Amino acid sequence: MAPSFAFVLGWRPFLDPMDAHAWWFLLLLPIAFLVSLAWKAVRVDDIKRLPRPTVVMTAQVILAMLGLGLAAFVGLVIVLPLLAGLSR
Amino acid sequence: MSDAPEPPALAADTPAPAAKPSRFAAGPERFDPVAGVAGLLLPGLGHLVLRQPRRAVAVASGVLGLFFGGLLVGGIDTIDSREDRLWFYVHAFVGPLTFAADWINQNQFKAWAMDETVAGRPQPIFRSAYPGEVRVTQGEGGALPYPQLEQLPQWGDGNVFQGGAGAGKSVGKVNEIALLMVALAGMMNLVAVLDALFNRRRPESELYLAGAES
Repeated sequence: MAPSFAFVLGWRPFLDPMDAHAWWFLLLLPIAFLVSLAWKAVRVDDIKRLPRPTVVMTAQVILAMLGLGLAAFVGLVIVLPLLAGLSR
Repeated sequence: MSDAPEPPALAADTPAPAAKPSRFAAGPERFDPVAGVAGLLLPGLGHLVLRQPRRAVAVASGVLGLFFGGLLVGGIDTIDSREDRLWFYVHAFVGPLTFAADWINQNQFKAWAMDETVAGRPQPIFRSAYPGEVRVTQGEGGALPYPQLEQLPQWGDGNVFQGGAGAGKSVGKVNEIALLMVALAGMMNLVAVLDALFNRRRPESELYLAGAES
């Protein structure tokens, strides 16, 4: 009996990996939000006021990651080549 | 020079004013092992035991969102106690869900393949399916002694084996992000378990009684 070709050809959520190689960096958004949600859930005193701290922390995480990315770009693409040029 | 009057000095034996107690705190921190174990069994269950249902829902949403998000991105092969053992130690903090996913991966999708060569001789390796492979459990003579990975036959081949597709293996950034998401779920659940273990909050039913909200 032949194996189930239908199972092989299509993407099966939770079984096969998602084809996110072109936009993997966008996964930072749900990761930052869910980490902030879980963290603030145990940090805030008044759980009714959870949404605002969660959104603020999500924004902070995303901005921090963008800042780190920018710093790495500046360091690797601009500063290091300049230093390499100076040493010649 | 400022002419503002200075505040009166406190007498040496005057006790410092006590901090105003928070209306959210029930008293001193207490150790609650039942809530801790419940939190390890299912994310958020520890806070439910402490009668904090809204907090429990928030914790469960965050932790389970990361856990199932990781599985959605990387597939079930993200959780693998054999090939990614160090990651698995962190994933395990999500609780029995991790062990169930690992059991399913090991027993329902991974299989043996003869593709490791040692001194020119193929050696069996237990792994996930590569693209174009199927997990075979039945041969011509009946059930195989163990599941094997075989190349997907072409249409029209008189194939005689029976089985199903293995779960695909994630690679590159997708694999890294998926591993990270499930690991973050484990770490956030550990934070929630510790919070449930050592807790001083009042139950939400007391805090948010009708008319008692500020």
